[in-house]
Order: sequence, then structure tokens, then C-alpha cells
Amino acid sequence: MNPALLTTVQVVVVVTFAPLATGVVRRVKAFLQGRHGPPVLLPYWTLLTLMRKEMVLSTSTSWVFRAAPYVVLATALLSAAVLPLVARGGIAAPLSHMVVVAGIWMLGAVFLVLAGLDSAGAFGGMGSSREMTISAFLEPALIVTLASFALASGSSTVDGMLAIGGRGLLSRPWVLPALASLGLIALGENARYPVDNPATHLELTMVHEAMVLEYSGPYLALMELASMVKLAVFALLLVNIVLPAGLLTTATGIVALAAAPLVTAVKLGAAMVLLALVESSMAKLRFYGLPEYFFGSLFLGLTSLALGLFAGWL
Amino acid sequence: MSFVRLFQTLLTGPRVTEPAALSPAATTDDVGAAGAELRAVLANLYDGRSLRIRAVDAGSTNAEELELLALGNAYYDFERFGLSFVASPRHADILMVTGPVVRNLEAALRTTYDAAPHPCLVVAVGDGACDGGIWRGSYAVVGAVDQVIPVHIRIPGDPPSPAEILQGLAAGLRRPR
Amino acid sequence: MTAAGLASVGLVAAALFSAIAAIAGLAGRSRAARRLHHAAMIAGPVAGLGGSFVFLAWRVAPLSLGASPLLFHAPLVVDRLSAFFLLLLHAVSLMASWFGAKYTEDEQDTYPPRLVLPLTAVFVLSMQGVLLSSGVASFLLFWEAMSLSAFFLVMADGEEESRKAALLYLAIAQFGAGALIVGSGILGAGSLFATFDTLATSVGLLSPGASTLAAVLVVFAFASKAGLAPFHAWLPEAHPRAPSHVSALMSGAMLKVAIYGLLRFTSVCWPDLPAAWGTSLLALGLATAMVAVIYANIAREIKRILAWSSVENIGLVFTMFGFQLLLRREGWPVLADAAQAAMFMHLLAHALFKSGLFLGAGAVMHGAHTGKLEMLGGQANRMPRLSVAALGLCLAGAALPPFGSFVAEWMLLQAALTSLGTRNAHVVIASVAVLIGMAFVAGLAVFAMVRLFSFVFLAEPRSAQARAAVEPAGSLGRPIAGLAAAGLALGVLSPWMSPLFPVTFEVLGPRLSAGPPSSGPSGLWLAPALAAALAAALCLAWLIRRSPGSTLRTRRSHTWDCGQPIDATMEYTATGFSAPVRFFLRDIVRAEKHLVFRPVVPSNPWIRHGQMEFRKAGGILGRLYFPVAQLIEDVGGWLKQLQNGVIQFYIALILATLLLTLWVAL
Repeated sequence: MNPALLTTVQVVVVVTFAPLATGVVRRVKAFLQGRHGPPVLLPYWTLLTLMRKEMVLSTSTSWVFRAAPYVVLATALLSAAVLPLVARGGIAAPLSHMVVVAGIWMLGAVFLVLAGLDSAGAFGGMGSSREMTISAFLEPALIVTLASFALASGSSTVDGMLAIGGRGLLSRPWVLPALASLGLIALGENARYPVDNPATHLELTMVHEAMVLEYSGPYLALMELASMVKLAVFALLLVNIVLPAGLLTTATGIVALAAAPLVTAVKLGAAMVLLALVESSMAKLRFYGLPEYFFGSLFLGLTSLALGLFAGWL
Repeated sequence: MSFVRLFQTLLTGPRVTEPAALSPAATTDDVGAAGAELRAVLANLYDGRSLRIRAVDAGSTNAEELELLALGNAYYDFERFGLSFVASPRHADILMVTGPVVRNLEAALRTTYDAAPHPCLVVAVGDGACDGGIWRGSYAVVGAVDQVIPVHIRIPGDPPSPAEILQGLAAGLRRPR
Repeated sequence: MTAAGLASVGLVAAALFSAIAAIAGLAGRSRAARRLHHAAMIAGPVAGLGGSFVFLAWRVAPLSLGASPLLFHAPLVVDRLSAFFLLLLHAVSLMASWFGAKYTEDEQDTYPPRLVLPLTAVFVLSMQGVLLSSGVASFLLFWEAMSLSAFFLVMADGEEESRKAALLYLAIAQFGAGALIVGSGILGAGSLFATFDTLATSVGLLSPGASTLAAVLVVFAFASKAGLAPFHAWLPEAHPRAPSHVSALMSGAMLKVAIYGLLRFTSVCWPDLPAAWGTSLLALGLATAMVAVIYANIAREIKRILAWSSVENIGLVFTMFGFQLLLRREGWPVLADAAQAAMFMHLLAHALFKSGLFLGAGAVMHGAHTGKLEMLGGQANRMPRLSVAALGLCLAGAALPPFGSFVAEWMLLQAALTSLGTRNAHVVIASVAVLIGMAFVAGLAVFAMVRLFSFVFLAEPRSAQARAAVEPAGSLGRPIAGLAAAGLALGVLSPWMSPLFPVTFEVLGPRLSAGPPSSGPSGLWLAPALAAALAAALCLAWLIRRSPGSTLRTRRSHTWDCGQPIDATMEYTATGFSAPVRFFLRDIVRAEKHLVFRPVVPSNPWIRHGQMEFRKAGGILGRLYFPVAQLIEDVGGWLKQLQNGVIQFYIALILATLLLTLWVAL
């Protein structure tokens, strides 16, 4: 199959199913709280409704505020295109080098932070300060975690790292702490418990939500879609490392292509149920309690790296 | 909650003492003088399948606030109708205003309405917001909400119970569910 | 004309134009002389850029540009290393001089033209001289000229703070120069007039102890001039006080000339430096970078933040230098070449974005009349064109894709990742340290650059002068835009930049085998693909925004303020923004809090007058520099006793010196 077709199919599938993933996680969390919860397809209606509402732009903002949603969505879409989520070996796969992926995510975070500060409100400033701290302190953990995957798989692109997914993990058990660390990083980057509460109304407890408080209309839809896509990207990446079955490659045929949306939906559903369980079983950390979280993630990644080095030497 | 209890709730549903007997008996009668505008707005916003609410306390006794808070609990659970509360009027499609508008909050209410992107529906919750309630004519309040910003739906009651709020919203907003 | 001819004409013309500019600047009172100065300062680097580009791209053999008795008969020589640094120097000085033309005209009251113009020209000329020298004596001559002209330029605005900063800079620069003279003397077996070629042979005749001592002195000299910890304290004091285009030259070019000196001396005299040097320079570099980036996050004035960022980047350069040295000693030449290429890419990228940022700081301070983050803000609405260029430069400073600094970091991290596969304990530990250290520094560098951009350009202005600011003139904004575009082009066009590097290197592939590099799309070739992919993603985002059914209606309102009117005093400040960093890293920042309570009423201890003072404790200046200075003062005080005014004592001293000389000579 054509690598360009693989990447296109991947982007279309991920962007289409990302709001569904968010709907599923909200629904499952509601179930766990004993409620019925919002309809699973609600995020689609929310995005469509937002596209039809007018935008109110603050006079304190500048062109950066208007440019940020495009860059944030673009970085989310780019990470959805390069990482091995639905297909491996797509045309954009060489761009999934670990440093490039970290750089793309950081670029998106930077523009989100700039947007939060541009509104000249204290809420946006606080959210931006916290988000920038979290991104900056998770960077070493991310690099070390991906480095230990790279060492174990012999490839520095995330696409190549999936070679040790699934059964490969069993024969290389030292990679498991890195997998846990990647999970912690995923929670931090996507503004989920225990780093951030995505459903809070109290601005003093917000990180991600505070930065988008000033957005409305289509720009808000772009920002929401970007965070949904990012969540789906991290979820699919983690699932694919544990269970790389059903991934399209250049060698698979039309049947697999037709089944890809279903496979992706099942993977996303499982990941979202797990996320809802994790979020419902713990409390959010206070912001000044986060250094332990960052260091924990770094320590897990470093353990994996050190054990991998020893394993390679013996 | 421990993981075991979480799994149980996930698989078998919540433990309830009595089944919920809630089904808002919605009617399609137009509620309020702004009915036509309401219909037009909802037709544009996909029949109101996803509406986000910003609650503005313009000087209430907090009784309506408690009822609004109860809307989100496991018994009434208004989220299953596609409604949700949001943290900023910029994100809101509906403003739920409670209380007779006290003089100190009149400017803030106007600012909130101005901050919300149009089309934004305004719901006056409670007697105070609908027509001033027992404070009508007092020197300390402006009066009903429609003296400050245009109102589309009125939900009378002191305070209206969550079921009445839902019925009033449903009657104003959408087809019977 | 041959490529060699073109190159030599270009480089000689560059030097000549600088000399003309210096002489014209001396007549700085006349408008025509100043115009001639500016024209020469712009024409010179254009010629120099052309010459060095031709030299590098056409792979010309090392050229001699002529010798002179004034320069101790050592010819001025260009080889690939000096041509690379000349390219860098001329690019920076072109933009700085273009900016400086209008800037010095407008700021004549602050910076007297008759002082600043000729000194800037001498500064640029002496940097060219350092890069072109082939002998120790002329190298030292131009080195001192560079230091001294920078010293006077830092003091140019005549303020007390600038004088103190300049003296601190001069003291450390003279320490370094002294070490360099002694070190070169040892290397040249007592003679300072050796050329680099003869040095290469005479080093072999030295004892290992003497060779190590010379190495320590020489490395100290260049490290202190470049700003490596713990010899960096002058940099955050001196760079902010100079005129902005001179700060750009100092940060963008002078620090690189110091790195050139290090590279030249180590490649000539000690091509086989032991691995321990690599490890220690790597460790020092990482420590410098980590400490400097933390202080960059805490500083409250634009140019101070940029100066600390320069220290951080020099720390990263030393890390890369130490890493490649270690790799080469441990027998991994391919990886060492890749790390060295990353270092050169980083040097070039840093020169471009740092000089652009300093020029931008000058433009903002020119328009808003303040450089303090607590007083700025809102400039994106008042200086839109400048804010676009500044955002590009800040993103480059944060090493984000698709800029050139990101490509440099990518290259180094790829080298470190591949080195993990070598089964060599030293290399592996160094690689892990590089991975963690560089990631930590990169994260906080992003923080610092975002903070810098946001509190200058975004939200509402925090003071009256910021509110009244206007867009600076075109000739101030265009050089800044040019540097931003150059930084972007460096990243996007990086595969085609490899002919410009002084070393040849293999691009490391994604497969982590430490053997020969694999084939297939890899390394540098991904940089233009990444830029293209980002552009495509932006187009897709725009299409999603414009999908059918979406509205284009917008309405202007004020920021959502919870119903209570807010003004600029209620928005976040730069100090508040970096509070988490200050708190999480409080053991390194080490601010001391002094609380003094005085009861107001003796009968009630809870009613009391409180005073809190927040002080930065000690620091390098307090713990290292002041004790050394105190020691020198004490020694000087003791020696003062020799001047007791008794003439018989002086005659006795002369007799003793004579006897000693006779004894040594005979």
C-alpha cells in the first residue's frame, strides 16, 4: 500500500475518532460516578455548534492570539500524522524521530501558553505559567523515556520503536518502567489527573482550561479539537506499544484498510476506559506537589535506560 | 474509590435506594415572548443538541444556586441531555441568571452578556429573576433580569426544583425526549 | 577570476572597509563622516560574507592574504575553520551595522558618536584580525585590541553601573589575556613570535607537566572570554550595558571568536587531548548551561535575560566540544564528527538568533524607553512587524522546529543516542548526562524565551511609556527580520549547509548502531521535510477553520474579567510567571528571605511591624571573585610597604636587582 495513503488514512481516522474518544472517557467517568453521563457523540455536536457561533475577541489581545489556534491544531495534526497510530511506515514516519516529536509537542505548548498570556487576564497568566512549568520539567523525562525505548529497539524513530511492542516487551522487561513513565508523561501533557482537572470550574485549579478561557466560536473549536486529537494520539501510541496488532503497513491489503477504523475505535475505547478508571481512582495533586511527579517519571525512565544498558552489555 | 468498587459500578451500574422517577414532561408551547428568536437560534445550533450553560448569580438567595448544583448530581444528571456548565461566558450558549439583579451587579451582568458570543440565550431562573419576586420595587434591586438584558426563557419558582428547571428548559429548547 | 581570488579580495576588502570606517568614525562630529562610516561598516561585511562563502562553498585551499612587519611578519591566513567563523562574524556585523546606522544617529545623546563609531569599527576589525592571524603575536595583538575596544564600548553611556560592569569585564579579560600570554610563551619555548605551524612542532618538545600547564592556561583564557562557568560573571553585567548593536556583536561574534581560539589552539597544539579533558569540559559546560538558564528565567530586564541565555548557549557549546573530544579519544571518529558538526551548527544558529534578539531589544527599548519586563507589554499591537520577527527569533532561541538551533540540538541528541550503543563506560555515562542535561536545559530555555516574548509583546502595556511606544523605523526593523529569516533558512535548508562547515561529517541515521551509518532517509534531510510538514499541517488547520458552515463573524470586546473592570496592573507579571521555577529550584536559586518582626505594642506580641527582604545569596561573584580580589588587594597592601620613601632603601633595592641580574646572566 502506498505510504502516502497510509498517512492520509491515519490522519483522517484519528481526527474523526478523537472527539469520540473524549466522549467515551466522559461517559465512562460519569458511569463510575453513578450517573448516566453525556451522550458519547456530544463532542461532535459541541464542535459543530462552536463553528457556528461568533467569535468575541478581546481588545487586549494581538495577532498572536489569533494565530495560536492554528499552530496548536497544526502541531496536534502533525503528531497524529507522524506517529504510528493506525499505520506503520507511512510517508511521514521518518519524521517520528523522538527529538522531532518532542519538539512538535513543545511548539504546540508554547503557542498555547502565548495565547493564555495574551488575554491580559490573571487566569490565563496563571494557566500559562503552570503549563510552561509542566512542559519544561517533563522534557527531560520524555527524552530519557524515549531514549530507553530507542536503545531497546535500536531505532530512534517512534515508528521503529514499535518493533519491540507487544511480545517484544515480554522479552525485554526492563522497558516496562519506561512504559509507565510514558503513561505519566501522557497524563501530564494532556492535562488529565493527577496533573490537571479537565472539568473544573475553579480557575485556581486549572492549567489547560485557564489558557482557553478567552477563546470562543471557531477558534475555541480548533483548540478543543487539538486537545482531543492530542489525547487520542497519546492513547493510541500507548496501546500500540502494548498491543501493536492491527496496524496497517505497506504490506497489508484492502481488507485491513477497511477494518482500520474499527480496530482504532476498539483500541481507543479500551484506552479511554482505562483512563477513566485511573482518573476516578486518584485525587489531583497540588501544583506545588508536582516536582515529585516529574522526578518520578524521570526516575522510571532512567531506571529503564540503565537496565537496558546493562542488558545490552551482558 | 477502590478499583474493585469502580469496576463494580462500571459493570453493574450505581447502587440506588429508589429508582429515579424523572421524565420531564416537556411541551412544545412557546415559553416567553422571545419564542420565535429562540426557535431560530436553536435551528442554527443543531436543535440545541449541545448547549453549554454559564450560571450568573445576580443577587439571589443562593437557593436557586443549590438547585442548579443539584442538576449535575447523579439523580437529576442534566448532562445526559447534552447540557453542561462552563467556566467562562465566552464558552457559553446559555446564560442562567438567578436572583433579582442587585444594583452592584447590574454592570457585571451586562458585561457577562456582552462577553458571551451571540447567539446567547438567557434563562431567568427563579421568581426573583423572572419578575423581581418579593424584592420587586425595592431600592436595592433593579428588578427582573429583562430590565437589564433580553430574556428568552423564564422558569418561575422560589426556588424551582431541579425537575422544574429541567422541564422549563426542555419546554423552551427542544423536542420531547 | 578564480574562487581563491574572489575569496581573498572579499576578505581583504572587508578588513580595509573596517579600517576606513574606523578613521571616518574619528571625525564623528560631521554628518558626512558618519555616513561614510556607516556605509563602510555595511559594505565591509558584504564583501567579507561573499569572500568567506566563496571560500567555503568552492572548497578553496588555505590562502595567505599577505604579511606585514607591523604584524610580526606572520601572514594573514584563511583556512576552513577561520573561513567558517569569518562567515559568522560578517553575517552578524552586517546586520548589526545596518541596525547601528540608524540606532547611533538616534541615540547620539546616550552614546557619543566620536567614541562609539570608531571603537565599533576597531572591534570588528580586531575580531577579523584574530580569525586571520597565523602567528601567536599578531593573534595576541588583535585579541587585546578586541578586549579593549569592547571595554570602552561597554562604558560608552558613561553611567556608574556601566563603568563597574566594564571594569569587571576588563579584569577577567586581562586575567585571560595574561594566562594566554604565559601559555603561549610556554608553548613557544619562551618566544611569543612563533606561528601556529612552528607551535605544532615545539609542543612535542615540552615536558608533559609544562604541556598540561600551558593547556590549562590557554583553555582558561578562552573559556573566560567565552563565558564558561565559573568565569562567566562578567557576561550578564557587561553585555546589557553596551549599545544594543555592540551587545549583538559581543554576544553574537566575540564569544564565537573565543570558541575559535579554543578550537585553533587545541587542534594545533594538542590534537590528542586526553579524554579527561573532554569529560571535564562536558561537565563544566552542562553545569554552566543549567545554572545560566535558571538565572535567565529569573532576570527582569530584557538584555540581562539575553546575556544569561548567551552563557547557557556557550555552556552547551562546551558540552558539545567536550563530548566530541571524548568520543574521538575513545575511538569513535564518526560519532565525534557528528557531534562536532552539531557544535558548528549551534554556533551559527546562536550567532544569528542572539544578535537578532539583542537588536530587537534595542529596537524595543528605543521605542518604549524601558527594558524592564515589569514595565513593558502590549508591544505586539504597537510594533506588529517587529513582533513577528521577534517571535521568530524567540522560537529560534527556544530551539523549536523548524529553526536552525533545533537542527543543531537534534544532531547532538542523535549523536548521544547512537553513542549509547558503544560499550564504553565513559562514553555511555557521558551520553546519558548529555541527554538528561540538554533536555533539562532545553525545557527551561523554552520557558525563558516564552517569558521574554510574552512580557514584552503580549497583553496590555504595564507603564505609560510602553503604552506610548511606536513601531521603530524600517532600517531598525529590517535587520532583525533578516536575522530571523536567516535562522529559519538555516533550519529549513540545513542539508545544503554542510559544505559551509569546516569539517566533513556523515549524517547519522535513525538506526542506533554505532558502526557505519545506515542508508535511507535520515538526519539532516528530515529538516526541510519537517518544515514542509508543518506548513501542510497549518494549511489543514486553516481548512478546518474555514470548513463549510463555520462563521467568520467576530466582535471586539474587553477581556472577560468576571464582571469587575480590570486594568494592566492586574495581569500576570514576569516575576509571577517564573515563580514556579524559582520555587521548584529554590535550592539552586538560593534566595535568602530575611524576616524581621518588631512588636508595636509591648503587651501584645501579635501586633507587630514586619519587614521582609528577599536577597540573592552569595553567588559566584561573592564566593569566588571577591575573595580573589581581596587577596590581590592584601598582597598589594603588603607590597606598598616597599614604598617607604627612604631613598637609601631604594638604592639598596637597585643594588640587589643588579647583583641578581649579574648572578643569573653569568
